[in-house]
Amino acid sequence: MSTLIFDNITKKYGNKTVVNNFNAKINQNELITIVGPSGCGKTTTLRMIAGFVEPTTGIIKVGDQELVNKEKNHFLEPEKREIGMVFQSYAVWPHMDVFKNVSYPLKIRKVNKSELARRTREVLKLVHLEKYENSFVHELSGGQQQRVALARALVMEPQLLLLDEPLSNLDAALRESMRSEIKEIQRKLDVTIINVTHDQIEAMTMSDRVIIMDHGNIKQIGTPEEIYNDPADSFVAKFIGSANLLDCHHIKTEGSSMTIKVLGVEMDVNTKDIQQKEGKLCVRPHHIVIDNSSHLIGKIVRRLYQGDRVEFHIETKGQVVRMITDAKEKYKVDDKIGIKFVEGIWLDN
Amino acid sequence: MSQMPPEKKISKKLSASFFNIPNIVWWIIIILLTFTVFYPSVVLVIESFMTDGKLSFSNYLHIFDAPEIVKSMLNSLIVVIPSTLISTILAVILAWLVSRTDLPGKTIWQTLLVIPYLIPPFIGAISWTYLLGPVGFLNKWYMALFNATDPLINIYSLGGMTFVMSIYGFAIPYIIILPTMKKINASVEESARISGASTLRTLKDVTIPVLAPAIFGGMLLLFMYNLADFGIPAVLGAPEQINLMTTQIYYTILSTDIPNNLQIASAQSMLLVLVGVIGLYFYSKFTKSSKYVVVSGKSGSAENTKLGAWHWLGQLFLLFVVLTTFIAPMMAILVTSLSKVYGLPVSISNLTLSNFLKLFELEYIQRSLFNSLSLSVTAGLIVGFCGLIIAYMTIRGKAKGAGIMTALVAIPYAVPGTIVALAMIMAFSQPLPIIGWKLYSTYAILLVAYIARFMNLGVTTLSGAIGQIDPSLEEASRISGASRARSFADVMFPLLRPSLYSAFFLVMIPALGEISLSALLWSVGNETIGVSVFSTQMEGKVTLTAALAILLLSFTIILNLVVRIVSRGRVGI
Repeated sequence: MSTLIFDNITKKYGNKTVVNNFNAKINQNELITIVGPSGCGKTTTLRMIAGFVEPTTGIIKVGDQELVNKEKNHFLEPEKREIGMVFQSYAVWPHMDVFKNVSYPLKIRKVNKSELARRTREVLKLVHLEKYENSFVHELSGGQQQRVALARALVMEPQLLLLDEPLSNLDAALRESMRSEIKEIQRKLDVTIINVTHDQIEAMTMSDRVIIMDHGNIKQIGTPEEIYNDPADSFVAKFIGSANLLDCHHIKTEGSSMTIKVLGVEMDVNTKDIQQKEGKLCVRPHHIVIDNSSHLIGKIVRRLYQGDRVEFHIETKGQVVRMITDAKEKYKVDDKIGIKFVEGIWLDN
Repeated sequence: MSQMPPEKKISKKLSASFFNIPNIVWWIIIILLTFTVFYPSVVLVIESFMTDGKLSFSNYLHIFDAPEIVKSMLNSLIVVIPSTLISTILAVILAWLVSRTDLPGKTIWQTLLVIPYLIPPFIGAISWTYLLGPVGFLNKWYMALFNATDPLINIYSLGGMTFVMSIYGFAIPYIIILPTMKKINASVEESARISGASTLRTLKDVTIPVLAPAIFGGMLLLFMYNLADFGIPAVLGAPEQINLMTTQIYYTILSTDIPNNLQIASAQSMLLVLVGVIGLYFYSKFTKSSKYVVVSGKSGSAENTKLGAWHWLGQLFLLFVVLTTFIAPMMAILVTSLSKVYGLPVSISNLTLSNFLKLFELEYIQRSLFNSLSLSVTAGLIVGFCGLIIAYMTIRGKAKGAGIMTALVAIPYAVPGTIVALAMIMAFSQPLPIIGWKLYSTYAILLVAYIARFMNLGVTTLSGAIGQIDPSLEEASRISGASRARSFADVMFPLLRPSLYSAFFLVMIPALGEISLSALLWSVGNETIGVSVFSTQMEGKVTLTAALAILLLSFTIILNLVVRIVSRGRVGI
């Protein structure tokens, strides 16, 4: 598939803007996850690619082929787009057996009988359902129905596959194995995948790149590492991985590091092109360590034991910060300890 | 695509939005409904203001002036208000008994109690004349037993109408209240109990307020249904010339010697429509009330009330209700239909099958059987087809004019049949402008009236079914490469097929026993079963009427069984 391009896509329902000025370029064979809280516009964006929702303005194109162009009033019907899609509710047809469900896209394309059977069986094998050809939906488990939906989306060998929260209805263990299976299938078939989810772990573990949305706006596009290590703002920092966000003040910049003041103590962070003197410091919980020589003293207000590690909530200077340490730390609630921030990221807002 | 020259693209766009098959059908249906519903409605409203070709209020003044019309309005209130109240109270008690107590055999009772809903009200009224008419079975037994010279009760009276309406009406609020009562979440009541409320206090503070929308909704619906009923007052009022509003409109239409009779009937109708519209407004307010949210949770059924020693009383009460609403009247019809002479004591020597044989000898009865069957099948087919398109286009297609369509479909069902028939008479008694067809006194006017009247049944049944199907099932087909029409044919249609069959039979059942439209729109050669039953009853051919009623009831029961089977128990009784 050629590059999928979004050019100033906006969707409004009456006065309500659901997707605001969405611009992105998605490369061939990429697995992109659009993630955000519910109501952020991620599903609407996906449905605009599929053609179930028409944008209010903007262009979506695959290479040179325009799927929708509001300036020219051009709109390609979903059935003409050659896209595979897995729906949140699976949408497996209850009146057809597994084979008929999966082979339907080929039947529509008038593929001859023997090839239709061959390709359907092939894709059923890919999703480990070869034994269930003649089963009906009500005889299948949730995970199996999900595989049927996936097989149906893949059978016509689309170059673009859309996944609308396909894992949200599965239990935790199944979700994990499906994640790696989808990744595996993508490698085998060379297909571009756009996945929509509200689960940040799913976004981080599966994707080549992640698009973070909130209130219809793109907050950040980047690889999981970029997003975790260099969040664009406090929303992203909080949404991906947990973060302590503390008010801070810029003191000076020297080359690649700059000195800031946070909770009354000074520390060095990586230099950023900053616009203002006051900002927020994002500190990941595991970047806080116990250091009883530190000037920053806090009182433990809560201790959450998690087996391999312990989370402490520490009150200091009227703020509560969360720290994650090795499980061997034996401090108790009400103990006073010194803490030190090892790393932090300056955020403008 | 983007390389296409602009004019070609425009034509492509046009063909996509206007000239596809669903859109053509949609517009044909809109035209059809405009012709069969909108046009007659407008004629009815205009005619109600017409006197001697001029606009005036004199028709409205006349209806408050003519003593028999004023009397009919009073009679309607005297009969409808008490019978609605009685039926609703009965429905609440029955629904509670069969859903919230530990009464044995609850599920059987639940089914038995809705059977009266299957009996066309005018058949119910006829059956009670066999029991409580001047020579009815019950009256005769009473006179024999107590050596009385006067019958116990005369069914041909306002009291008789109230009685029959009450016992046939309770099924409507019962059907509405029962599911709500079943669904009340146990936790709603339990939280009141744990807060310190007694059983009675919980009933007063929680249970009844939660049920109130259903109870009032059911009561309002029944009130409108009773007010619109034609069959019961027509059968029970005729001998003593006691009229309710619907029968008064009927006789005004037939009184061709009164000048302006149709216009006066229109004004009377408008009054009845007004009451109906107000009722409908309050009904939708009740059903949309947010209080419903409380009960729509998962049905963690509440704890049943233990009746203990009282449960015999409960059983007796249910038995009494089933006896009076179903068994006794049906037995009365059956015995009458098998009697040589009506009025003689039940004995072997008085039994005969000749009444049934006679049915097939009388030509007009044969004709009416044939007409009713063909009318109900044709109406069922057309309503099923159009209902599918209307329901689909309004729910999924976001088609233009969906709101108007819904109104056009709802009006003829919400308005009394007598009024629909009047509108049809006035709209179609003259040859139509331009095309020159004259529908009045033809088979076609009956068909048009049936379709207009029963379209709502088809649309609501299929809307419900479409609402149950997740839109993504169709979207999955679109993204697989199927066009809108192909997706409909491959995915929606197979899934909707059982509901389509249900819609067909749900129209066919009331159409077979239809009386209020047919009574005014029939003509020689175009009789229906309802008309035949009605006229044999009026002519005093008692045993023949009973035989015909038995035939109609058998059709109804068989069709209902078919509905239950095709809908896998979701529709039907």
